[in-house]
Amino acid sequence: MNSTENTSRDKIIFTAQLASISLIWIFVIAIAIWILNLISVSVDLNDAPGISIAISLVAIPVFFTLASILTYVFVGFHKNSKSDLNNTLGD
Amino acid sequence: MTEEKTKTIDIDEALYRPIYETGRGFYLTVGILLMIILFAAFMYVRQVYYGLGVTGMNQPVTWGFYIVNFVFFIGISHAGTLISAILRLSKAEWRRPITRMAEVITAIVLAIGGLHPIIDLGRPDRVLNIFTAGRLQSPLLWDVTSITAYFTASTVYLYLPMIPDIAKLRDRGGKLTRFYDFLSWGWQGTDHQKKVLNRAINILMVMVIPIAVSVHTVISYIFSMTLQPGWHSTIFGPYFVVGAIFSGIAALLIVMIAFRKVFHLENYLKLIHFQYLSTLLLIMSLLWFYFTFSEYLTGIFGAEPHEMDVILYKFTGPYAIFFWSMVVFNFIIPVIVLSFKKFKTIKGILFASITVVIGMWLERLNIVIPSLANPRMELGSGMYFPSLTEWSLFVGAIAVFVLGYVLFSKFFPIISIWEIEEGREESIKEVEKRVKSYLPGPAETSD
Repeated sequence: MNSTENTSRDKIIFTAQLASISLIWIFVIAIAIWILNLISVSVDLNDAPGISIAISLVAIPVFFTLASILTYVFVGFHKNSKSDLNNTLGD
Repeated sequence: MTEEKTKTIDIDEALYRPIYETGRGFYLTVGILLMIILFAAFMYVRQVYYGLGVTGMNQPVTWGFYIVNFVFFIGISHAGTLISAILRLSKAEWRRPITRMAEVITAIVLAIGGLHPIIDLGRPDRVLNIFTAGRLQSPLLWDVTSITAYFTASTVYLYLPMIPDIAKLRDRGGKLTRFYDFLSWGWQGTDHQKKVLNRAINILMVMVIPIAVSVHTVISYIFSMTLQPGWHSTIFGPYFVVGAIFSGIAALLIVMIAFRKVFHLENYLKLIHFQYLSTLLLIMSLLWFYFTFSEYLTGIFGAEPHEMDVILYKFTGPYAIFFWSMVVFNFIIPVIVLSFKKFKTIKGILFASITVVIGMWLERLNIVIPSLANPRMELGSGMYFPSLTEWSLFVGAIAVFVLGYVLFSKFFPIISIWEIEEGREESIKEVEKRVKSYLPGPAETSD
């Protein structure tokens, strides 16, 4: 397999990985929107909005933290990876 | 360096073997499981077509096997992420061959358990109503939120520690190289990547513990937030969490023993691992008994008539066989087997674990059905007999779990290879350093 094929394969895989990270964010944002919608329903109906807000204050940050951790790992792996690899190989 | 690497790969070849070698047993197992699942799927389609009349649910027992299994499977899910996180957090070195097996249980079982309330709906399409007209003050919706959070956290917690192993599979080549390349996220094992991964795992393991505890607490709220006799109890939250961890450890032990036997992992899963885990199982058995005793003693002492109806239904009524079997399976057998060194062998531990899993399923049955069968309203006492549809879906759910586990082990190492390598390289020094820090000597002045 030549280097051009390798590079294009790497690009496809990287794009797919980026897409998977984006999907996770879409999932998390969708959950946040859903929970906010439920709060708005409870406010409209005067149906214990306080409880709904309390639950969402816990739930929404949990989902965002999980997505942030994944993003942090993904970015962290790709950041400096080539220079670090050269250093490791140099050892 | 290269020689050293090759040597390490050779040592751990047993962990790669299930991925690269596929025997006839694998196809046979998958085939049988698929047939069971297909039959269960057929029965479910039939239920959707004919309605919930094909189940044994009736008035007043409107919840049956599906909700029992929902609580049971979510309980089993505590085997994984919670136990793994606690062991990692406490730096228990013996955790290394166990954590992944535990985490896989969580991911698969949570997905199965989470589907059960939908199966319980006569009109499954109505599950979509929670997106538009859900009421967040309902404990049922707390469940949806917390189970989704736990499932997401558990999947992330399973995936991240797998990355270095996926990269190893990628580097070995083969038909699935691109698949592994995609999943390995460019892992090259550099110091920076290791630092990033360890930091992420550390944050996750702290995060996952309260999420796991919240899930089963919230599940208990489905029952305890009602005024139903036998359910309206303040200790239901911790009682459910204790039961979940208890059944989770037992399920983990069964899985470990099965895979040890099938994949010949005796060099990785040693007797000491089973003994440590079974000690935990024994502690949980005692704790479970304490909670059960407190729960029923309080109810009996109060002697509230409706509460007594439920208690007598369990103690001497139609559910006596299930109640007392539960006590024998969850308390008497495990305590006898696990308290004596003579019985604490792999076979003994397997026996105790199987009884605990059955006992904990009976416990869920004893919680759900008798309270519904004895409502506060002046109705006669009800009875519930599960139908073939419910039995089929129960067996189908177990088959999905086994199939999920078998397929996972076909694509990924069931034991974390990089953590085993790390253990060989660093653990002895680290443990020595830690032990020295416990011993009397000049105190470190951090303040």
